[in-house]
Amino acid sequence: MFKNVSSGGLFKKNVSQRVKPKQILDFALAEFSSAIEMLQAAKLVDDERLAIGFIEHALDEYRHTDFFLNILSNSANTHLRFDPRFSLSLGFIRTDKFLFETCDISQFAAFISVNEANALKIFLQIRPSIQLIGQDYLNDLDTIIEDEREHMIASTQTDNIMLNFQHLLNDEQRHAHLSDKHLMKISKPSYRIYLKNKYRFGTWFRHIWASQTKIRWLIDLSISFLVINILIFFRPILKLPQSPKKNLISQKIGKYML
Amino acid sequence: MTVILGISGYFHDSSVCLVIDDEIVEFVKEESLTRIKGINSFPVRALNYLLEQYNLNNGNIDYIAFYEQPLRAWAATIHHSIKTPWKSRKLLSMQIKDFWNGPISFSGDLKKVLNFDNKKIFYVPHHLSHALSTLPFTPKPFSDAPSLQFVLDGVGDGYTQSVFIYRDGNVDCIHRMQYPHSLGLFYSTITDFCGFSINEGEQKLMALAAYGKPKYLDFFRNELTEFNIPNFKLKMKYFEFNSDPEKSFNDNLINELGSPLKSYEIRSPNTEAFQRAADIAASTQKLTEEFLIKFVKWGIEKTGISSVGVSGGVAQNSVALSKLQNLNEIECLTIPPSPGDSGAALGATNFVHILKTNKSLAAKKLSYGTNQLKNKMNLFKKYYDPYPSEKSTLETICDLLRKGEILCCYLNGQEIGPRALCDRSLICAGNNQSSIKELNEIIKKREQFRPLAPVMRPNIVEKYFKLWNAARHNYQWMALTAEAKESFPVSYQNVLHVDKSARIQILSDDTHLISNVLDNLFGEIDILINTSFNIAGDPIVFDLIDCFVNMKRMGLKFLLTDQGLYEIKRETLK
Repeated sequence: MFKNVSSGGLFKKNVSQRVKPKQILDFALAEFSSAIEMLQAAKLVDDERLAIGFIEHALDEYRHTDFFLNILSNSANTHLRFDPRFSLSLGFIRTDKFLFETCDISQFAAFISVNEANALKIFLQIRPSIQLIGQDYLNDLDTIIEDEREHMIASTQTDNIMLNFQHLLNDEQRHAHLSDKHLMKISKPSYRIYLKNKYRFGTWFRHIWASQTKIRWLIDLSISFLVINILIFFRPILKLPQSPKKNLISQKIGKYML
Repeated sequence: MTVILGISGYFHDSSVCLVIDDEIVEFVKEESLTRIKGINSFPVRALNYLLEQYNLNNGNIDYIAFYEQPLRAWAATIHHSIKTPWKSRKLLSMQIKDFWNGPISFSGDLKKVLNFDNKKIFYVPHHLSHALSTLPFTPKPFSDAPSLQFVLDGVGDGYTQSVFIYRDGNVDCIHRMQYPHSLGLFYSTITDFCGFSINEGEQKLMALAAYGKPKYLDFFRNELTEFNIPNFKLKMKYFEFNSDPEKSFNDNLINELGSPLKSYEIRSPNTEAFQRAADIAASTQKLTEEFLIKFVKWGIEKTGISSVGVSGGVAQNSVALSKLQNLNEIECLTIPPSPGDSGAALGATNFVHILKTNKSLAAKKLSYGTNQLKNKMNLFKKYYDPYPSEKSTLETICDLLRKGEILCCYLNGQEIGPRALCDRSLICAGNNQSSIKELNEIIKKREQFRPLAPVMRPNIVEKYFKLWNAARHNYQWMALTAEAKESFPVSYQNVLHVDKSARIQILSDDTHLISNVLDNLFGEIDILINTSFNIAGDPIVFDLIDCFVNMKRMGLKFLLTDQGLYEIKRETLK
């Protein structure tokens, strides 16, 4: 995950013991968006070895997406659903350009390096919560299927979850390390420091913004309230006359947005 | 030479269609290039792709057609929402943002890609775009005769259903229904209630319906909706989609139907939750079928026209459309391969074509463009080896299918609609139970209750299925389901749904490689399973990298291309 999400609020020092479904969905979206960006980078880059590296990275990110989606789809406490289009509407991916199209290879590598390291930090923070989710699986299975065999399957599932999560952590570390190494090869130390700081600040700022849902909601509501009040007076104008019904294939019909 | 581009976008399934003179040259979906299924932004990548591939610019593009009248669409929905400003504040807030980011800014978004003269842009009414997407697929002699075009979708330009008469290069509208009373939005609401995602889960609800009994039909018929043919009305006290973008139903519906379902509760067919969801789905499906039959019958009686087209999102309900065969009045029924918003890009193009030439486009094939392998040949060689065999490619493919292998097809061009028709498909033997189960549940990760579709040659399909002759051409692109005959062999039972029907594909193109495979396997494997080449929730593959990534994610080995049969390299499978 290099388009990562915040693990908590701005002033929260300790992350909650239990990861909320919304956070799991955000993690899945972040992993999915990273997979898409990597896939596009593989398609756009000329260097074949880099393309192969990007494809491998994309495959890892898809696997991580599946990991979080698996948790989400088995969660009894939520009606949240994954929709790949959220990656655009929530700003994980730009609608007009992919990351690789907006920056050069050094900037791309720096962005990955900073954000993968950050992702690793977040995942280490939520590690205990993932263990708890594994325990929930056990409890659910205990309640639903009350026999010893299912207990065994459940513990296997719990083990698998932790094993998969360990893989995910290793991947993030490897991704951060690889992009760091590549960055060292292609750019000067001063430029490297500049880029890394730039993306560190960018990520920090994004996380603050992302975690301030109430403030964003308030700004949004205030603007909408203002515009809605103006629009109420114009309601009669918004009732447009019916579209014509005859001879619809005509120059006149197609020339206007109304 | 006349070059027309048709564009759909901003709501769901953005796409671009290129027509040069009388030929549909290419049809590109934005999701193919972004790898985000159902992407609804302005199709900047699809447009750039076409501009680059065909060296198009302001000078050589004659017209651009957009698939709706955006200001009308915006004003109509705002006018409705602002009646109850406090209740609808969330939706209004979204609609206000849409003024700057939505389809109203189409010409501005277009300008960022192409410095195009605004005078050459056509804004085609949304339902007319849908209706005109049917005409290129209507067979002769019906394509030259007057036809009745039914459009049913969620909402477009403020309308939810329309009926048009197409006659001699002109179109008149004889019926329109206004937002929010929408059969499409009703179906989507129940889809949401049953735990599936709107715009994607409707097909799941349709499949689920076969497992249930329409226990809620009376409530749906008498309380939730009101038929006054041709009008379809919703009792809005049960619905929320017209005031809240995040909710489609409210507590009133929950009080009647019980708690909303979650998708994980209905994965296995033997649970109480599954049965409740199936009963709700069956009731919804039955209501949809009832309305559709009455609606089409009304149109035919009113106009005396018996060549019928159905398009819009609701036309993806292949089961409901198949029920129209109860109407003996229909002489020809056409559902376009892409009846939804994506295909409306083709309809918008057809609007300009008819305006300029007085005749409709005629589609000569179902897939467009070329395959993308040549662009990354070196990378291709790194990932794939030619499959070693002393036999011919055809023989080798047949041998692999006999062994129960699943093959990935990357042949010809990209299919126009949402169904893969053997060009971008995964195929396996229809009489191999374990391959089918593996393909459906493990590889594609589909729900157990969803069937896969069979593909057959015309001689076989006659033997095994009850076909509707007035709509026979639609079976080529899987727009309808067909019921199996009683003589249907037991060895192929797994290709059928629980109600003994299947969304069949008749492969009638004798030059297609899969046709040759089926002919070669005649008597041994008469039916193949055909499902799209993608993992669930992803778009169908577009280029080599997508093929490789999807094959690796699904654990598949064999890739069938126009250049031959390839096997993924062992070292890449680690």
